Amino acid sequence: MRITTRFLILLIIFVSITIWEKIQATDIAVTGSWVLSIGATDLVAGAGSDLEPNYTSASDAVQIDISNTAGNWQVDVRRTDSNWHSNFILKVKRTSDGTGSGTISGGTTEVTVTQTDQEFFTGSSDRGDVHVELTLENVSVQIPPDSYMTTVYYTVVDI
Amino acid sequence: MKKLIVGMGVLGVVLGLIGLAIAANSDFHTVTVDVEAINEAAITGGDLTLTINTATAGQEPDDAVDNTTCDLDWTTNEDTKKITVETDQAAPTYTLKVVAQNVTGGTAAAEVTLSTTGANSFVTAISKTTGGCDLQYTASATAAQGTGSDVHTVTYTLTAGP
Repeated sequence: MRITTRFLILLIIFVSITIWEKIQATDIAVTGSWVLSIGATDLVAGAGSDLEPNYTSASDAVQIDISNTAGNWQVDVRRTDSNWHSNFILKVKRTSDGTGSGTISGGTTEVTVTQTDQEFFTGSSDRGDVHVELTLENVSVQIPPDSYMTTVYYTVVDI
Repeated sequence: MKKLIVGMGVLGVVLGLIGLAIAANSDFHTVTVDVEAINEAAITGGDLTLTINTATAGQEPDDAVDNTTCDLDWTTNEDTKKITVETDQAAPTYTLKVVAQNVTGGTAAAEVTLSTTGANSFVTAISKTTGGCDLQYTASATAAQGTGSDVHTVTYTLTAGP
């Protein structure tokens, strides 16, 4: 009985630590998306010419909020493809510092989004309304008509 | 028993530190790229007039040939396309032929005698490409056909085909 009680106490402590860490974990909230349509009007010079190779979203196409912070953090970015053409090159760039008591740095030059996490930007304390711009490169008539989609994940990690 | 308690305590601390180290949170958005079918063809150079006005004595009039005035350009992001050509002149007095020269992004078909009997293949084997060619028109007349003029509206169409 005594051993069982002690074991239960330790288990409760362990579970409490885990829940506390969950509560303490820095949160990230991403809003926005980018829908791009490419057609004949995007030919560089009409019939006989290729498509414009590069397309850029609005500078605030995506907004990121970092909250519930407990110090320094880092935001990583990666993508998971649903139906994506291998010729496409997707890049992200931070176009605003956002607002909040903390600091923010990095990410103001384009980062190519691959299928593995890469550092995007870092900061400390809470930051809200950080704007992100996306760029799609390497578009050409070699890419057949279709609806292509990828999901871009932003992960905040305490550092 | 003490060892068990210490062991569990250490395990709790270690797992706690690991949890802290990997504490992370993710969110996402989507990127959608809709690529529409693109099948564009355009003529540059404008309208063309061919004049048959020379001949060698004892022979039929010389053909009038032009391969510098008009070009045809095209772009497609689809496979297995061809360009066809036809005229709206249902009853021409004289013969008008056209052939693609200096073709890029496809293969020239044989010279076509323009008619309204159906679209004729003009450039074939076009797939996901940009391309272009010079349009060489040849007008022919016999002495027996006399003088006059035919007006053709020539239409080139980028369409499905080998």
